[in-house]
Amino acid sequence: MILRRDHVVGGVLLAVAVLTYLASGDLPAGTLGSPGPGMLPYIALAAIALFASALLVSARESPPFAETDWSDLPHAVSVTVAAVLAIALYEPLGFLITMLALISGVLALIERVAPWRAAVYALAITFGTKLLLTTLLKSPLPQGPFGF
Amino acid sequence: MPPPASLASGKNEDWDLDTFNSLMLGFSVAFQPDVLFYAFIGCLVGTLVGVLPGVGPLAGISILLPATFGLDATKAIVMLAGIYYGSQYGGSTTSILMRIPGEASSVMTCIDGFAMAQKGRAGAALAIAAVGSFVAGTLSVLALTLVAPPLAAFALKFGPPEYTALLLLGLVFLAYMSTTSLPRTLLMASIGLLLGCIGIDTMSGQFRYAFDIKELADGIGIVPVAVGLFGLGEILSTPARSMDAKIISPRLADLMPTRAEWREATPPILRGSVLGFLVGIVPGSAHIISSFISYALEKRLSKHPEQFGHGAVAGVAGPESANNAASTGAFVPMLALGLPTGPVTAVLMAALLIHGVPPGPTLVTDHPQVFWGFIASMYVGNLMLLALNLPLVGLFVMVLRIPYAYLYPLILMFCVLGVYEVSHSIVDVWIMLIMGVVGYLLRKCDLDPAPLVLGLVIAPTLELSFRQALTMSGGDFSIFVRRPISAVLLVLAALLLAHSISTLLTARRDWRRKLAEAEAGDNKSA
Repeated sequence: MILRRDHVVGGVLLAVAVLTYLASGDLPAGTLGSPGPGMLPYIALAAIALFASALLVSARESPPFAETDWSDLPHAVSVTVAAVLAIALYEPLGFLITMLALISGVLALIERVAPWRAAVYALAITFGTKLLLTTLLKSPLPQGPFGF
Repeated sequence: MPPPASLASGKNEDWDLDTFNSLMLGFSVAFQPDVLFYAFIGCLVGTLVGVLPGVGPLAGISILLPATFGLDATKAIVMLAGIYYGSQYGGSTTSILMRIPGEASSVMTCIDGFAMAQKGRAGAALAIAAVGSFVAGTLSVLALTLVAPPLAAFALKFGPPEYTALLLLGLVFLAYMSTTSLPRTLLMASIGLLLGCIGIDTMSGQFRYAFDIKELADGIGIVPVAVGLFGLGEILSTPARSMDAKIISPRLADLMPTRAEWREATPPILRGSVLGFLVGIVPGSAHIISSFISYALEKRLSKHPEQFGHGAVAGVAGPESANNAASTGAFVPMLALGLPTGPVTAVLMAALLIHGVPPGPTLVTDHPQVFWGFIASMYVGNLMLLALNLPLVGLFVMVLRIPYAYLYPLILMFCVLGVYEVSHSIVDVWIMLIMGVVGYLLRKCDLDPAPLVLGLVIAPTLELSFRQALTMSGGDFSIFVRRPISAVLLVLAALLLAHSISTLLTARRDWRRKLAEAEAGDNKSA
């Protein structure tokens, strides 16, 4: 049997629905006359399970999973790693240092832009944004250990 | 003319003005210099969002939402809505000059717009798109002015069963109009409903799926989900090298269409305006569908259908007018019923809620300065967009020449910044990241993330009204069919569902399949 795209999608989402139901613990569904906090979540879970099963049943109409184009995966992984680092450092290091590092890092390391060009662009963008947000829009930004 | 104290305060005192007077009061709000300024900023940013491929109006609005926190509700909604309808204007630029839709709804403009550009008529195509957008935008705001207040007054009769039926109908409509299959759309909407259940249950105070993360007590915000799915998700699935394309530069001298081109464009513009507005009211990806239907209609009505695909003026005028009218039509259910027709109106609703203004039937009466100021600003905004789009076409071409490699780190920065500024919670930013990865995977699996956002938005209202309705009836489901409005809405939902299922079972190639093919680039299907 050829593993098709909707086999994977339906299977994963069916598993998610079952696992979420198991993780629901003692969430009470209540009664029809007095619905509890679990009623809509359980209805939603049942709907997810139903439609995921429908995808599994009709999966033969979807393309083989092996044919999925993953050529953009290295780019996606690189950007995700950059975003993870930026989010982790955002509060400890503040807006300015984190975003300078993020933009110049993405440009220089992922897009292979000349480091000086990446640095100049990152400086202009981050300082410009900080100026716009803090002075014009009066929106406070997280500050780093050096007070900026 | 300053608004009366009763309006400025947003209270319902002496509120017995007719539509015309109300609109005049709206103009008095819209013409205030600061409101004009924010409308201009919204239109400008919206045009840029529309021009730039890979940045949709949803990401643009979500990212800029925090920038409105220092503003009052009127200025905030005027600016954010300006981004939405402005993006419909801007989307045509890349379609015509690069054959890349700057915005999803401009996909049909690529076909004949780019063909016109290749024939040296890029300027004329841009002018027809801009004027068509202006006419459609203005006519549809006029229709919105007339339709929304009576609809809101009617919706005041709605109780929990009617709201439950209305929201269910909205979900079924969404599935019916979707270009992906019925199970896929409803699957995404169900996941959205489940995500909308996370946090404290408002009726019992019980925690649901919060897993001891206190930041999840208030639930998952729309902004992190929308920015993640549509902003970051788009960045992850768009490598910079894939965005390199040839740009045809129009000459400013060639902007004026010929008399024959105007004659050819006028009926499609008018037809597209009416069609787009009607389709826009319906939940779903209305502006994309409206431009597709308009294109198909113009091709059918044309005396020279063979010209379509080779630079037919009607192939630009109709779809561009239709998608602008649809974006205005989408405001009718949002303003009058508090029902989002798509993810963009869902985020706009969230913006109103953040500013303490609940959208829905009471908006006209409780916050008339917001309602009428917003509507009046759309008349002004459409004029601004016409003035912006044609003379500044050279500037937008320059923007298009900025390599995507420089743009996406900037968008990434605004994704992080925008989400953080909403609640100053880093947990929200992590949610945005997770949703970005989910958005990337959904695209790989041909799953549309838009119903997920819609499910997330309507979940609290659906749950509350559903539980209230059942409590009212003591668990008797017949309450949904005993009340006439609710019964009509549910019958409509059942009919649509039955039609969708029959199409699915018989595997018929209906208009939704053709639209999906057109979106994928097969222009023959239209």
